[in-house]
Amino acid sequence: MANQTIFERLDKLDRRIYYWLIVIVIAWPLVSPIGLPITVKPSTRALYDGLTAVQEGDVVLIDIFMSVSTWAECMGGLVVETNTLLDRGARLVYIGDSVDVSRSWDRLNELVPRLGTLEYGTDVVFLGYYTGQDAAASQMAVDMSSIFPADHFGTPIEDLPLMRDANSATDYAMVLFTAEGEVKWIQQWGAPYGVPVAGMGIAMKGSALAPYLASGDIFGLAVGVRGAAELEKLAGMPAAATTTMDAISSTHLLFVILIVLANLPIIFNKIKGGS
Amino acid sequence: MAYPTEIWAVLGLWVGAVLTVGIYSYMLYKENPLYRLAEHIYIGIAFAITAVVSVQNTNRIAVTPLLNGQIAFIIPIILGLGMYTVFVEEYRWISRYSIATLVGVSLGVVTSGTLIPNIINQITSTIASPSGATMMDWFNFLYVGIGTICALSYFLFTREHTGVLAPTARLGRLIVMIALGVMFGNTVLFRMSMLSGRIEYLLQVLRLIPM
Repeated sequence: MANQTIFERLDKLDRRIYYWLIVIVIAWPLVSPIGLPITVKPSTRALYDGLTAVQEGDVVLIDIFMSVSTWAECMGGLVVETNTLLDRGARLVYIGDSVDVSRSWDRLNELVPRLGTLEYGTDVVFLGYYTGQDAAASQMAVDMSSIFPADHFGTPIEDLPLMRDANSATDYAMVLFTAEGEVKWIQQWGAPYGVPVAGMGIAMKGSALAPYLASGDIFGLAVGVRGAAELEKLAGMPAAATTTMDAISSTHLLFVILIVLANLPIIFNKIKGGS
Repeated sequence: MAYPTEIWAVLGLWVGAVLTVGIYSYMLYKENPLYRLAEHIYIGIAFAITAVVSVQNTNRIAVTPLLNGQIAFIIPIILGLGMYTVFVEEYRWISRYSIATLVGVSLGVVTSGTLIPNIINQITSTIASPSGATMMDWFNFLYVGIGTICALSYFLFTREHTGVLAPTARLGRLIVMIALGVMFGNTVLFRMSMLSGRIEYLLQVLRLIPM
């Protein structure tokens, strides 16, 4: 043991120590935020500019393809989107392709209390869960009521004044996807009907969505919790995502240090002429 | 949002916290009773929610309209029920009609929608000169253009990777590796976001940060 180098000792360290280190590095900034600077990417700014360009009375479709496990990643951004659109006087229609979408809707109402003060059915509607991917989106584009004969609470769709003005793709000013499920909107609403599509993807979707951004198939994109933090910065309402970014940045710094430490012995060994 | 005061709400928070710790205990202490309990509860609840929501959805979309006289809804209901014959060997052939319909409709819908955004627009944006005039715009344009050609050449299997194809295929492989690295980095970011969400929840339950 005494003859071991620091790298050899680190290599033999119980991996649980690293796990606990990660937990501490994440928890610390959550309890005591650092306030690390957040730069806004052009794609996030384009999304925010699109949201602020919405006119009063415009109808926006928001697809919550987000399960409870993805709240940490996307809920912050959804809150900013909702608040920004409500500030502009937009009318919002929420749907979701995740079985626990009703729980996400409840959480959104907790985080945006003014959703509950709006006139339900006129200013905002929650149609609830749907399934069927492209086939469902394609059918929604021509007749929303065929996929949603009633809203989530069982009210017939013809009894909702907002839905009388928003029964097909051309009635909507834009579609916003949340987390995933963006391709069906690009393919079934964006390309055939020219409905602007944008939204926020989980971090894993960032590189997959970049080509759609470059080709103009989506006009804006916020990626992961960083995108949510950027939206919070643009909207001037720092909240959960901004704090989480402190934790994420700290953890990534720790990862970089650990990766360098893990590779240094190999590099030194090669310099010495080892295999 | 304030910390709940009702006993059931507080109990719910603590059950969530214990189950969260139970799931993460697998990494620290391998398979253990708390992890198993949390895992089984998770699977059971996830299945129950999916089953209930699916039944409600079928009822809302198809059964209710059928009962209200829209007789055409009998077709998707029969096709849907036909799927379940896959479990009975004697009647398994019936499920083929349901599957064939599902595949046919999905293929038709997706094919018609995919042409413009996934093929034409992607080719156009790859070969069209950049809209911006900065050095970075041109670098990105060249990187994407050369990267696309080289990555395609790497996947060209009808000719041996010699001569002109040798450097392009090698560069293509490097570019594919860079793309995979970016995807892996994004995946790590996503996983850390999820972990931070659970840690934030635990800190909220412990009242170390506000809800």
